[in-house]
Amino acid sequence: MTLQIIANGIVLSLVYALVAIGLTMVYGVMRILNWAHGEIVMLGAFVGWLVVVVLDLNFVLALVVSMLSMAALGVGIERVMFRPMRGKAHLTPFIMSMGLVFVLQVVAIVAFGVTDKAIPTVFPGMLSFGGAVMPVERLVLIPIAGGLTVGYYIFLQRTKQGRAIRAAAQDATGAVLQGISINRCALIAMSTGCALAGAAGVLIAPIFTVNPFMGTKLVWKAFVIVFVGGMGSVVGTILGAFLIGFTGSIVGTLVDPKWVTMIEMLILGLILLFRPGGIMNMEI
Amino acid sequence: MVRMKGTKTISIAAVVLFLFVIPLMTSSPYHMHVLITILLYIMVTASFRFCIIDGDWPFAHVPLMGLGGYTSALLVMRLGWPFLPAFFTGGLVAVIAGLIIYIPCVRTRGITFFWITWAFGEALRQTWIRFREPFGGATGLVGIPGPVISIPGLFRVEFLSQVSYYYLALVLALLTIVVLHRLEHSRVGLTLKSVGENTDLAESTGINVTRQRLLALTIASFIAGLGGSFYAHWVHLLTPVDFDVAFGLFVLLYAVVGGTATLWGPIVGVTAFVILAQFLRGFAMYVPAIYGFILILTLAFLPEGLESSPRRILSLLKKRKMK
Repeated sequence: MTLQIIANGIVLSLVYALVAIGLTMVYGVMRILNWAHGEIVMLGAFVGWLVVVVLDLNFVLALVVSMLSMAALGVGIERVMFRPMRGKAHLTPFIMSMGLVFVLQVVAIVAFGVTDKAIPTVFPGMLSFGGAVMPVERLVLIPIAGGLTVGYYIFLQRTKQGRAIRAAAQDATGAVLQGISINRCALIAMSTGCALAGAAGVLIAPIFTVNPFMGTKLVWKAFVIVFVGGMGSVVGTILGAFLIGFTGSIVGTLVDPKWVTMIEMLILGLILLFRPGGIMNMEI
Repeated sequence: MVRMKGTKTISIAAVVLFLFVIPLMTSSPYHMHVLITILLYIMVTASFRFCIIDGDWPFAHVPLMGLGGYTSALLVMRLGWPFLPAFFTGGLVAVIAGLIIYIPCVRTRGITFFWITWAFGEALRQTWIRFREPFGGATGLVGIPGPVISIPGLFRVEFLSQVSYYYLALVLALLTIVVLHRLEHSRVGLTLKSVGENTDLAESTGINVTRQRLLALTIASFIAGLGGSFYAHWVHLLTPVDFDVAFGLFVLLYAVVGGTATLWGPIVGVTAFVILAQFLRGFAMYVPAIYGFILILTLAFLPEGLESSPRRILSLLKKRKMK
C-alpha cells in the first residue's frame, strides 16, 4: 500500500512539475502569470492525440512534435501579446491571457470537437513490485518527465543562457546593464515553458481523457504549486509539485478524493499566512 | 456649471422614470429577461469594479455571488425561511465567507491577489460540486421557489410574471448604483482611490491599507451575495456551473471593456455585451472566442474601456480643430 502511494505520488508530482515550471518561469522573467498555460497543455495533448491516433505514428514523435509546436505557439503569444504590452499597466498582459484562454478553447473545440478523446495505451501491461501495481504507461512517465525536469534545471544552472534568464528574473535592470537581452530571455522562457507544458500534455493524455476544457483545472493546480513553491523559483516549483502531488496521492488513497482540494486549500492558506513568499521565500 | 449639473440630474431622472415605465410598453417575457439580466449583471459588475478602485481584482467575487444564492435558496427550501430574511442572509453569508477568504489574501497584491482569490473561490465552488448534501452536487438545487414578500395581515406580493422580477431587479440595481456612487464620492471612495493609485504612499500617510481593502471587499461581497440570491429565486435553479470561471471572466470582461474609471463603465459594458450576446445566439460556440478577442483588442487599443470613447472622440476632434 505504501509503495503504491509513493509510486502514484511520484508520477503525479512529476507531471505537475512539468506543467508548473513553465508557469513559474514566465512569471519570473516577465512578471506575467499566463492564465492560458493550461490551454497550452491541452493543445499539447491534442497534438499528441493527432500524432498517435490520427496519424498512427509513434509516441516519441508525438512528444517531439508537441513540444516543438507548443514552443512555436509560445513564441507567437510572446511576440504578439506580451511583448507589445511590456511597458504598459502591470495587469494588462495578464488580462489578455484570460481572453486567450477563451480563444484557445474555442480553437480546440472547432478543430477537435467537444467530446473526450482517448489515446489507447502506448505501453501496455502492468508492473507489479513489492505490493504495488502500476500500469507501465505511468512508470514510463517517470524517466521522461524526470529527465525533462532535471534537464531544464541543468540548463538554468549551468549554461550561459540559463544564467542570463535567471539574472533577468532576479533583476531586469541589472541584467540589462550586463548586456543581457530581456527580449531574448523572455522568448526563451516562454518557448521552453510552453514546450514543457506540451510535453506534459502528451504524457497526461493516455491517462486522463483529452477535452478542450481540461486546461482550467490543471492551471489551478499549477498555480497553487507555483505559489506554494515561491513564484519564479524553479526549485520551489519542483518542491511544491511534490508536495501537492503527494498530498493528492496520500489523501486520495487513504481518505477520499473529495478532500484533496480542501487539503490543498489548507496548504495554500497556511503558506499565505505564515510564508507568503512560498517555500523558497521569494519576493511577493 | 450649475446649469450643467441640473441638466445631468434631470436627464438621469428621466432615464430612471423611463426604466420604470418600460413594462407598460412591452411586457414580453423575452424583453424582460434580457433587461433583468442586464440589471443583475450590473449589480455584480459594479460591485466588482468598486474593488478595482483600490487595486484589488477579487476573483472570488462570482463564487461568493453563488454562495449568496445557495444560502438563500437553502434557507427558504430546507428551513422554510421567508424570502426577505433569506435574501439578506445570503448577502451576509457572502460577506462572512468573503472575509474568511480575503483576510489571509490581503497580504498580497495585484496578480497574486487575483490568483489566490481565484483559487479559494474555485475551492468554494468545488464544495458545491463534491458535497451532494446539502448543495446538490453537480446537478445543483432545483425548484427554488420565487420570492414572496409579505407582512402577515397586511399584504402579500407573489412574483408571478417576469415583470415583477423586473421591478425587483430594477430597484436592486438602482440601489446598488446609488450606494456605490455615494461611497465612491465620499471620503471612503477617495481613500480607496488613493490606495489604488499608490499603495505605499497611501500607507505612509497613515491610511490603513488592509482595512480599506477589506472594507471595499466586504461591501462588494454583500452586493454580490444579494445578486446571487436574486438569481437563485429568479431562475429557480442553481448549479455550480452558473458561477464558474467562465462567468467570472465575463464579469471581468464587462468591467474592463466597459471601463473602470467611473460607474458608467460597468453599465455600458454589461449593456453592450448582453445585447451583443442576443445577436450571437446562433454562434454560441464561438462566443467565448469572440469575447476573448474583444478583450485583447480593447486592452491593446482602448485600454480605458468603452466609457472613455466619448472623451476620446472629443479630444480627437479638438486636436483636429487646433490644427
